[in-house]
Amino acid sequence: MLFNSLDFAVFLPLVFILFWSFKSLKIQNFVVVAASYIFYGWWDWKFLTLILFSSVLDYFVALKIESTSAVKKRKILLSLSMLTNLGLLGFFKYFNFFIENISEAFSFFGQPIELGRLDIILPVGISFYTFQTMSYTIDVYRKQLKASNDFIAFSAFVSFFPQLVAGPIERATHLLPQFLKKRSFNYSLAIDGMRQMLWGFFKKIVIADNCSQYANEIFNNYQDQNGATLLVGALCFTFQIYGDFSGYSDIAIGTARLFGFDLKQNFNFPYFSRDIAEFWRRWHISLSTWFRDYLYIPLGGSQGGVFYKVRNTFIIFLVSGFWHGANWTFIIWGLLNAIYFLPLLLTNRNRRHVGDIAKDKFFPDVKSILGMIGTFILTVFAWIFFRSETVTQAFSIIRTIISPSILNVPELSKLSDFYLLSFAILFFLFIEWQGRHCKFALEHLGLKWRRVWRVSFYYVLIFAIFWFYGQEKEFIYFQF
Amino acid sequence: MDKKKNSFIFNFEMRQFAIKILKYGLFTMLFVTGLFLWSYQIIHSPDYWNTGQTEILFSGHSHPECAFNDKLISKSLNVSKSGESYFYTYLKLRKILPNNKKIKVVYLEFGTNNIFQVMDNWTWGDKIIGQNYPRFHPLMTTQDELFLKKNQPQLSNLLVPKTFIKENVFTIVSKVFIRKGFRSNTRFGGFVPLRRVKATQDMAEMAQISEDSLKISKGSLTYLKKINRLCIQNGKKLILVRCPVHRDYTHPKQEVIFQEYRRNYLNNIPFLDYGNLIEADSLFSDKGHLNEKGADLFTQYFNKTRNEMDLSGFKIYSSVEMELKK
Repeated sequence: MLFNSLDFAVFLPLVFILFWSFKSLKIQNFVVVAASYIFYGWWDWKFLTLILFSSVLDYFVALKIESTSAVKKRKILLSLSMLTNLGLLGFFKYFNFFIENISEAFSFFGQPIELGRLDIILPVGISFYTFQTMSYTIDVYRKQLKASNDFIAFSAFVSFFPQLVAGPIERATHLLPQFLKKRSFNYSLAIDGMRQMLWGFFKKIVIADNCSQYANEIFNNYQDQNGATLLVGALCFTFQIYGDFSGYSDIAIGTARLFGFDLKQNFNFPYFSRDIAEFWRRWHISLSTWFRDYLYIPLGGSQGGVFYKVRNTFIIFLVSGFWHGANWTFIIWGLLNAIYFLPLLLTNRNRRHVGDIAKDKFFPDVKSILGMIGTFILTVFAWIFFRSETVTQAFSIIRTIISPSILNVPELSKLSDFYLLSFAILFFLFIEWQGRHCKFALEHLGLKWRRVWRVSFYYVLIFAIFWFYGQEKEFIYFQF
Repeated sequence: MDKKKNSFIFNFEMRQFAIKILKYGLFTMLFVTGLFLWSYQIIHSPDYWNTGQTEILFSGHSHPECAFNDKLISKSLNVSKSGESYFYTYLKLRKILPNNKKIKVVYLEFGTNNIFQVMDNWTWGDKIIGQNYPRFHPLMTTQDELFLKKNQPQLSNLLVPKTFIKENVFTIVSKVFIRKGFRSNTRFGGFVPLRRVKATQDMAEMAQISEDSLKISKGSLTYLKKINRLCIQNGKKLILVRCPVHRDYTHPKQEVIFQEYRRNYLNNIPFLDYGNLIEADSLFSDKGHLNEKGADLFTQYFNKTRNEMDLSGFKIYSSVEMELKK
């Protein structure tokens, strides 16, 4: 079920009423599980077995780990959980990629072999819930968390519908306890949630879906486009992916708040970052911190000599790229980000910008502006790889962008729509900029305004959402 | 009391929240309903469909939309719209023709693709119906709705939000602010000049013809006949026209079926065939559409020759440029 569908518009109020109709924590958790399974099964009920399997496996493995003190046995149990989860992920997501690459490698060395591809459908959101369940087992193994003995609560944690298919990837230490303590409806939290959802829908429907039309048209016909048009395409994708993914996170966090749950902030205005290190502290935070805690730090993090720093940085960015999809384009995207990041790490300048941007003033200083522009350009460049179907396509696009045809006029269809979209993007950036110190752009905006202005502002957003609402488009991150 | 605190019904905060959401919901619904009623009233007023001094009407899909520059022919109006099948043209003409006594002749595009199954997709296909249903819904009778519903089970889901506000606002703006009625609402058609020249590139990929693309449309003939009847009822002359297309556009197999279809079912309606009129690649935007220059040349040529054409046959001119030089 898509957030931006009529189905969800009916589903959410029904679940909300049902959930709060019960006082019992157990029944509320059961409602969450049932609703989440319906939400997920709306795509394909057959894949529910995967979630159920993951839930059962990690529930029992964690209990077993906790009851065992023998280090070796604990390690075996952890390995069992990790291998099974990663095995499922690897099979559904990466099997064909490896088969194709092995075949190509053999052909390259003059020994062509026939390896059959499998006609596999990638289960929606598998990368997200797999990582979520793995974090639980690892935390129990590390004795940072007590294993849950409430299967319904644990299933609710694994399958919680607002963040099931595209995150934020929640840690068991943060979300699971919320299923175990009594909840009461909180008006302010719910209203806050509604505002965050409204902003999420604006990002998705007004910004992302409309940018996607231009990005798709330009990237799909890249051979016929001049440099200027391709640059517009890359910029459109830059805003599309941010609007799409952070919009999803906002809707997810907002929806969770309606039910009294607090989910982690997943985006912290990344396009206002002053360097790449700051960008990665602000972009897809739940995944970056996951990799940091469960991969980077166990590898040694930034401790040790230069070799280890370089190795660990490359590993984490390559894995992050590969997590996004089984394609060399994602791997190069990760590699590129590692190359951007390394100089900052090696010169100990990766934590220069940890504070707020332009704190206590509206306009940033010149240095920050230059930093933001530079980081934005690097990011747009990297997104070209992320969006392209093949590495050849990405290089061809970059070649055309840096050719003299960059000075031509962009050739765009539906110019009046594009001007309207450009205006919407400027409005969006303005709202994001003024809300950059908050958890989401609308968190405090308008709270001190006169009621009539505040309500009018919300209606402008609602009106824009209806105005731009076209066909229901899937969120990009569903495929990851 | 404590026990009741967390339950849905007795929680004060929940009630406050529900009232707030209901207020927003109610206001939004009132706003949307108001918009709909206003737009509905406008779209049903004869004034909205007034074409003024127009005597010649061009209609059909993107081929005439890009081919007839109505500024070059006095008292003419191009109401063609890309992706428009006869079903939607009929709905539009049903509003235009009875309200405009001055219109004498309707030129309707009749090209090869008009008879094939692609037109069914243009009528009730998933992609097009999402745009067209909210736009044309106010013009439909129950019979039209049933016709669509028979082929598109998702129909009722489409009206609620998809482009709904946009369509109604466009109707209101075109009437209240621009004051030109449907003529200022480009969503109901109008001449579109295309600037690119791409026919030469497209030629390389001469399409492979699939069996599916040779199947005859279910709905096309029905609504073409309805358009003919509508013209007769309103005392207008209907003339079918095939606009110029690139020489590689029509597959020979399609052409044979097209000619046979026309002879069998539409022999009583005059037909002007300009399909092969233009040869120069530079006058095409792509294989199916003239570019701006091509449209201007063709419109002038059309205006000069339309009364002299042999309406019963397939008179083909080898070079429009040659004719225009005369």
